[in-house]
Amino acid sequence: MAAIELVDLKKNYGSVPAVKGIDLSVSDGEMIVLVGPSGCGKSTLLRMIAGLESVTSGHLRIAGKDVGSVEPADRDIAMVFQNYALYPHMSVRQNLEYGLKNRGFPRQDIERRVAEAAAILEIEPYLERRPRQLSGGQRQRVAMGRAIVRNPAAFLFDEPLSNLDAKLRVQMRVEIRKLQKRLGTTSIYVTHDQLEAMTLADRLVVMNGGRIEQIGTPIEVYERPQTLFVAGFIGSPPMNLIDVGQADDVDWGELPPQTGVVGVRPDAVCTAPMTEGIGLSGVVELIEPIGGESHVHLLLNGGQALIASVPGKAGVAEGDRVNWHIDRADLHCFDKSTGRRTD
Amino acid sequence: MRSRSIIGIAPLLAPVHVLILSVIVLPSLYVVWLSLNESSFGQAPTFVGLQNYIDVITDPAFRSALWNTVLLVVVAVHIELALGLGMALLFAGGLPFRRFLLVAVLAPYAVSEVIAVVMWRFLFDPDVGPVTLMLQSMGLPILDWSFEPSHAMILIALLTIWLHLPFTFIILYAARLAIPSDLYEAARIDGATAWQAFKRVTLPLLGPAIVVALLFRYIFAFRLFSEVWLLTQGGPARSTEVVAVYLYQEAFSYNAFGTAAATAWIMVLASLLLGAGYVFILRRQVSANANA
Repeated sequence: MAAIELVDLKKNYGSVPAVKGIDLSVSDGEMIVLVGPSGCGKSTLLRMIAGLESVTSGHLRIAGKDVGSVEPADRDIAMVFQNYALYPHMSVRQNLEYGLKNRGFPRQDIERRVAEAAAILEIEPYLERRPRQLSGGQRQRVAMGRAIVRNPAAFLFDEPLSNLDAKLRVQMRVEIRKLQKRLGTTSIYVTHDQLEAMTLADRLVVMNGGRIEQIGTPIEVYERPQTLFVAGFIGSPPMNLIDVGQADDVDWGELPPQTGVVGVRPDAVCTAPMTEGIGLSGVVELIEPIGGESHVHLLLNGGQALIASVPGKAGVAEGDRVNWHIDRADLHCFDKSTGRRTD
Repeated sequence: MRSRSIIGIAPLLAPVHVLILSVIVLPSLYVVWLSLNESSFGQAPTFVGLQNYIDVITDPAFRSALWNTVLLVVVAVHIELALGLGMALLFAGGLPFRRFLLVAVLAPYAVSEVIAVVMWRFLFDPDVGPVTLMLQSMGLPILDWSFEPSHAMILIALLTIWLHLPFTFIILYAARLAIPSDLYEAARIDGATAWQAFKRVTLPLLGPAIVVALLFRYIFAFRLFSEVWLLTQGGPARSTEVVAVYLYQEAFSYNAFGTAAATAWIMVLASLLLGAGYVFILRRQVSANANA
C-alpha cells in the first residue's frame, strides 16, 4: 500500500498532446476514479502510471519513489484490464501464479497466496478451468485475483466492467468496492460511466481534453461542479444548462457578474406552487416514466429545452402548459466564455 | 422426414460428389489397381500382387530418392519455420516501411516455380552468375551445383525455402497479430521478460498456427518436383533425385506404370506418416507447455 503522486505529468504522441499536465495526489488506501468522455486522456494517464506508456515530462511517484522510467513489473502495481487479459492457454490457477512465478516466489508462498485470493473472490471451484470455460463475471474475478495475489502497492483498473451486462456490472461494482475497502489498497479506477464513478470513488477526478476539470468527493462534484463541462457530465439526466441571454423572459433575479449560463439539476425543478423562486413556464413535449420518477421534457417559452425529474407519475400530459419553478439556491452559475463557476 | 429431406437434397449435392468421385476417388482407386499390375505401353496389364511395391522399396535409386526427399523436407521446412517465425515476430514488433517490406517478403510466392528456377540458375551459374561472382570476389567458396551433388542439394533447399517462406510467414504473422496486445501488457506487469513472454505467451498461442503451417509445408515439400527437375533433373547420376522425380522417371521415361503407381502410394503413406507423427509430437508439446 502506498501513496501515488503525479506532478505536472504530460504525454505527447508525436506533436499531439494526450495528457496536458496532471497534478494529483492519491493518499494511501484511497480509491480514486478517473472519469471523462472517450479520448479525454484518462486511460493514457492510467497506462502511464502502470508503465505501459512512457512519460513525456513530469514526475510520477509511487510510495515516494520516482518511477517515471521504471519497468511496469518493478512498480509494485497490479492492473485489471478491460478485456481481462487472462492467458487463454493457462488454467485459472496458472493465471494467478504467473506473476508470482516470474518473480521467483517460493512454491509454498505461491500456493498460500493463490488459495487466499481464490477464497476471497470465491473462485476456488474454477481453479483448474481455462478462462474460456468461465462466464464474464467469473473471468472478471480471476482478473482481480491476479491483481490481489501479488499484494501490490496499488490496483489500477482500466474500465474493468465495460464488457459485462448491466445487472452483473452493478453486482461487480459493489464487490470491487467491498474488496477495495477490505484490502485497503490504494486504487485508481478508470471509467466513462459516471454512475460507476460516483458510487466507487472516495474522490472523483473529472477529466476532459487531457486536463483535470475538477477533483472532489462525488457529492462535492455533484453539488458544486466547478466548470460547465463537469456540470454537464456528472448527473443523470444531465444538468440543464440554459443560456441566460436567450432565456430573457425568465426572471433570474440578481446573478453573479459574468454569468452567461445557469445550470438547473432536473431534480431541483419544483412542480408545487411556490411564492418565491424562479418561474419556468413552457410546454410538456415528452414524458419518460421510469418507475419511481418521471423525466418530463419541457420546451420553455424562450425556446430552450429543459428536463425535469418529477417523483412518481408526472401528473401532467404531453402538450400541457406548465408553470414550474426552482429555488434560487439550486441555481449553478457559470461564465459562458471561460466555463468557470461564478457563484 | 429425415430420409425424405436427404432425397430432396441429393440432386443438389450430386454435381459436387460426381466431381470429387471423378477427379479424386476413381483415379486413386485406379492407381491402387495399377500398382498391383505390371503395365506399359502396348502391353496388357498383368496382375503381379505386391511385386511392384517390393521392386520399388528394394530399388537403391528409390531409397536414395526417399532419403534425399526426407532430408530436404526436414531441413527446408524447419529452417523455413524458424525464419518465418522470426520474421513474423519482427514484423509484429513494428518495423519501418512495413508495407513495402511485407510486399517484398511475399513477392516470391507470386513467382512461378519455373521462372524462379530460371532466375536462380542464372544467379548461381557457376561461371557467370552474379552470386557466384560476388562470392568469388569476397574469396568465398562458390556453389558448384551442376557438378557437386551436395552443393546441388543446398541450392535446391535454398530455392524451396525462398519460394515457400511467404506461406509459412503469412500464417504465423496473421496468428501473431491475432494475439491481443493486452496479454503482453499483462505479462509485462506480471514481470515476464521478453523471453518469458515469448515462451509462455507467444509460443503456446501460436502453437495451432505452427502445426497448420508445418503440416501443409510437409505435404507440399514431400511432393517437391519442379525445383529439382528444372535445376538438376535429379543428376548428377541420380544423386539429387527426390521421390516425385523418381516417380516421373518410372512413369514417363521407363513407362513402367505399375511401379510408378506403387511409388505414388508409397509417397502418400510416407508423407502421411511424417506429417501425422510430427503433428502428434507437436500437439503434445503445445499442451505440455500450456500445463507446465
